[in-house]
Amino acid sequence: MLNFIFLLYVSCEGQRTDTSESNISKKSLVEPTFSNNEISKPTLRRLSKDQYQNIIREHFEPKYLFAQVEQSNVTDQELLESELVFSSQLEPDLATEGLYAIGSSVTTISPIGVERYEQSAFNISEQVVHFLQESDAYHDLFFNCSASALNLDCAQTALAKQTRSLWRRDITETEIQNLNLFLTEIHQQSDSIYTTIEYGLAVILQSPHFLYRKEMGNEEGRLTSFELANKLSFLLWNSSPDLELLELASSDEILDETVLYEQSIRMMNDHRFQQGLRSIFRDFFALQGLQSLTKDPLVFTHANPDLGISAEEETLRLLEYIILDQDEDFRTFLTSQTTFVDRRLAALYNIPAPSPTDFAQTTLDPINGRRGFLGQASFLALQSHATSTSATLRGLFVRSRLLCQSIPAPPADVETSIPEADATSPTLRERIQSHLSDENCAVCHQLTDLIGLGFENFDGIGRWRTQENGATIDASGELDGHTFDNAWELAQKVSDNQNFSKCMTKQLLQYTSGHVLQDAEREHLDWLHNQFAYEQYSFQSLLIEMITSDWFRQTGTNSDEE
Amino acid sequence: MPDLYHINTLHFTNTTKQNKMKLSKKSNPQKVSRRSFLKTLGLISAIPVALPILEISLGKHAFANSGFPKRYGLFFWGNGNRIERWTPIGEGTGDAWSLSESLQPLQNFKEKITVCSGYSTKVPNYFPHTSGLVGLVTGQAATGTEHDWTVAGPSIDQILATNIGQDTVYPSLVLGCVSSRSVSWNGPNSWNPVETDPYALYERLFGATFREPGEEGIIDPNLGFRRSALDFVLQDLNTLHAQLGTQDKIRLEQHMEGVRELELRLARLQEDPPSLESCSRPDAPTADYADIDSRPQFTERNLIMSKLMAMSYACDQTRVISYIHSGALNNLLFPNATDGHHNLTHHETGVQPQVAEVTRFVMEQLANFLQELDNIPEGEGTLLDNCMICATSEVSEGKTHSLDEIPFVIAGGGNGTLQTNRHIRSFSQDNINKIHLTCLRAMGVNQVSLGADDSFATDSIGDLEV
Repeated sequence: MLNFIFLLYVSCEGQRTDTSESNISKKSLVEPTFSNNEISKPTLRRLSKDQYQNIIREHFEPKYLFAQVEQSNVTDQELLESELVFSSQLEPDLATEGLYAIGSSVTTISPIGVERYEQSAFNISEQVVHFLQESDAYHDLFFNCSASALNLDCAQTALAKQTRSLWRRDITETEIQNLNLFLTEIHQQSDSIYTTIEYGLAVILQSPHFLYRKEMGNEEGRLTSFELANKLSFLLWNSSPDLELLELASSDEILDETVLYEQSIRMMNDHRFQQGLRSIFRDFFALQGLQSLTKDPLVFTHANPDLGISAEEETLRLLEYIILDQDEDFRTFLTSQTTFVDRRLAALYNIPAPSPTDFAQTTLDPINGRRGFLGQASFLALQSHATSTSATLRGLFVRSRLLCQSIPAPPADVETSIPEADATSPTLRERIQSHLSDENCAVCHQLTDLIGLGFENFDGIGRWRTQENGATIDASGELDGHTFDNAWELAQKVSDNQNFSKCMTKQLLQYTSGHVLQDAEREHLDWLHNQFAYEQYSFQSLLIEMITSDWFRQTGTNSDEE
Repeated sequence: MPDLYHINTLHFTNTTKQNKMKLSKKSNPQKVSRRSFLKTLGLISAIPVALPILEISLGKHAFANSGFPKRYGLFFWGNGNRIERWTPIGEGTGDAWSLSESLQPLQNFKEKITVCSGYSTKVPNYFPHTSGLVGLVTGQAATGTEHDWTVAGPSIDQILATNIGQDTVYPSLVLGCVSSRSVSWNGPNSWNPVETDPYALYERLFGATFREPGEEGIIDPNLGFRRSALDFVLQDLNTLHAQLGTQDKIRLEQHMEGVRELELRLARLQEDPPSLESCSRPDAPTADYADIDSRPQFTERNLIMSKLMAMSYACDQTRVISYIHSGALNNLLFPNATDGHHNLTHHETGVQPQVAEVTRFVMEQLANFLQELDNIPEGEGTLLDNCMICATSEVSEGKTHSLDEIPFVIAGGGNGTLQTNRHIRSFSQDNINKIHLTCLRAMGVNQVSLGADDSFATDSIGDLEV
C-alpha cells in the first residue's frame, strides 16, 4: 500500500501569498465553533526530556526546594546548593512536522528507552534517599514524622502524596492499596525503610502515569479538570501543575473560566513561565540544533564549540525581554536593535562586550547591519553549512519556520553541485545562478534563495562581511514582490508580513495541542490571529486568548476508530 | 484487587531456588542446559570451567553445527560511495575477482568476504537519503510526507531480534560510532535510539551485573526488587492501555514489550551466564573521545566500539547488532576533508577524490572492526567466521542519491551458511531484498518474503548460499 502524500516539486508555483496588511480594526468577539469529531483524536503525549527533568527538579532538588521556602532556618550551605544529577540518556525526543511537541504524541518508548527510564528512576531515587539520610530539613519537606520516627506507615503516607503530585492527578483507592502493598513487600524483604522509599519512588517514576500526559476528555469531548490543569501547566511552565492548581482541579473549580484566567495570570507571573517560554521557542525555531553546531575552525576562526550554546541564549533572552519584560509587539523579535550578548558573541559581532562575565543587554548601533533574530548567530550559523553559508537553508527557514509555507524537497536525482568560486563567480549569488535559471530548480529555489541571498553579508557563523573572494556582496533581493537591499530591510518585510504573525499563532496552536492543525481548526486560527493583532501582537495576550478559548478545552473523540 | 497485583516471591529466591525456578519456568524441560542440570545435581564442582563444546551447547544456548551461534551485524555508513572506484574487478570465486580501489583496506579479509554489486533498493526515491535508508533497512518504502514520515514495518535487525534474539541478554543492540539518525525501527513511529557513548555501553554490557562464564560472584540481590518494580509498572501500563484509543494502544504495547524484555533480562542475570570460552570482561573505555576541532575521532571511537561489539557477541550478550559508522545524510568532517561529507558529495567537482577517500577510510574502519572479530577464537575458527556483517549505505552515489548499485559487503560467512571470497554481480539491478532474505534465512529465520510493491521479494540468492 502506497500512501505517500507526495508533493510534486512543481507545486511551488502558487506558494506566493498576499503580504499586504489586512485591516484588523476590531476584536472579533465570537469564537468559531466546531464539533468534536472534526478535531484531532485524544492524545497521549510522552514527557519530553526537559519536562521530565523540570518535574523532578521541582519535586526533589534541594537547591530548588529551599529557594522556594521563604523563611528557612537551614544553614547547611552544602545542602542549600545541592543539585540533582541527571543521567544524560533518556529516550530521545523526536520532531514530527517540525515540532517536538507533535512528535511527543506519536512516538513510543523503545526497549532501550524502558531501560534508560528505569536507570534514571533509580538514579534519582538514590539521590533523594541520600539527601533524606543526610538532612533532617530535607526530610521534613516530605514526611509528617520526624526522621528518627520514620516507619513504613509514615513512608506510605508521604509516598502517596508524592504519587498524586508526580502523576499530576488524584489517585484512586486501588492505586494507593497497590502502592502500599508493594512498599510492604519491599520493606519485609529488605528490612530497610530507605530501601523501601527508594524502590517506591522508582516505581512511581517508571509508571506510565508519570511518563505520559493523557488528554482523553470526557464523553462530550471536553478535557477533564486534571487534563485541563496539566495542559495549562505544561504550556506555561513546561512542567507539572503545582499543588494549588491540583487542588483547583480536584474541586473542579478550574473548569470555571474566571478561575482558569486567574490561574493563567498567576502562572505567567511565576518564575517557571520562563522555562515554558523557552521550550515554546526552542521548538518553534528548531534551536535544539544549536547544541551540536558543527563548524570548521579552519574556515571560521571565531567558531568555538560553545558558540551554539551562547547563540541560543541570546535568542531566548531577546524573546524573554520582548515578551516578559516589555510585553511589546512580538514582531520586534525580527527587527529589534536590543540584544543580549556575552563576550564570545560580542567578539563575533565585533561590538564591545557589555559585561565581562555574563550575558548583558546591549543596543546595536544603527549603522550596524545586524537587527533582531535574523541578525543573530542562532539563525545565521545554524542555517548554514559547516564550511560556508547557504542561501537555500536560510531562505527555507524563513519560508517554513517564520511564514509557515512548505517548500518540497528537491527531486532525488537532481544535480546539486555548487561550483567553486572563480574570477567570474566570486560570490555565492553567481555560483548558484543555476538554481535560479534552470526551470526545474528555479520554481522552488526562487522562493528560498532570493530570500537567503539577503543574508550574504553574514558568513557561515554570522560574522559581518561586505566582500566575498574580493568582490562586493550584493544582498538585495525580493520577498514575494517586495524588494529589499539588505538583511535589515528583509527582516522588516518579514516582520510586517501577515503570514509571520499568523505562523506564530499556528505554531502555538500546534505546540499546545500536539497535533497538526486540522482543516476544521483553520477558522479558529484566523480568529486567534485576529485577537493577536487586536492585542498589538502581545504574546502574553495571545496565550491568554488561547487558554480561555473553547478550543483549549476541547479534545476529539475516538469515534472514528474501529 | 490484591489478586491483580501481587509480588512474585520467586524473584526473591536464593541461588538454589533459582535453578528450580528455571526448571519450572521452562515450557520445554529439554531446554535446560546440561550445566545447570548438573549443577542442580550437585555435580558442578567436578565440571571444569572450560567445557568441551558438546557440554556447552545443549538447551537454551543451542548453538548451530560448529557449536557457536550465528551473529548478524549491520555496518552502516552514510552518503554512499563513488561507484567507479567501488565495483570489484572480475566476478566469481577466489582468484576470479579482486578488490577495487575503495575496497583495498579489506585485502586481509578477502577470503572471508563476499561483495554483492549491481543491486538496487526498489522503492520510490522521493526524499533524498530518507527513502533510500528506509527502503534499505526495512525492505519497503517509507510512508507519510517529507517532514512526517515513518516506516511501514520493522527493520531487518528487529525481524532478527524478534526471531532469534530471545535467548540472549539483549535481543539486539543499536550502536553508533557517532551520533546519527537511527537505522532501526520496531515498527511505525517506533525507532530505536542509537547508543554512542562507549563508557555507557560498557557499563550496560559489562558493568556491575555482568559475570564472566564460571565466575561465581554474587548475584545482585536488587535484581529481584527491580523485577517486582517492573511488575508494578506493567500493571499500570495495563490499566492505562484499557483507556486508550487504537493508535495509542499500539504505542503503549511497544512500551510494554520493552518492560517485558527488561524483566526477562533481569531474570537471565539471576541465572548462570553461558559458558563461552572466549568470553571475558573487556577493558573499560577510559577516554571521552570528544571531537577535536569539530572532527570526530572516528578511528579511536570505532576501535573501542568494535572491541565492545566483538565481546558482546563472544559473551552471547546479543546476536544482532546494528552499528552506524556514520549516519545517512551526515555532514561530518572526515580526516583531511575540506568540507562535511554530505556537502562534499554534492559540491566536490570532477571525480570527487575527497568523496572517494571517505569511502576508502570507512572501509578501513570496517577492516578494523572485522579484525577485532577475527582476533577472537571460536572452535576451529574465529568469531568472524560465525558472523555475517553486512556493510552498506542508503545511496550509491551521494551526488545523485541513486538507489541503483547500492554497495553491499558481507563479511564472515555466518558459520558456514554463506559463500565467501566472491563477487556476485547483478547486471539487471536486481532487488536488494534478495540479499536480505538470503541473510535472514541463513540466520535461521523462516522468512517467506520481504518488501512490498516493487521491492517485494521471495527468492534468496543461490550464489550466496552454501
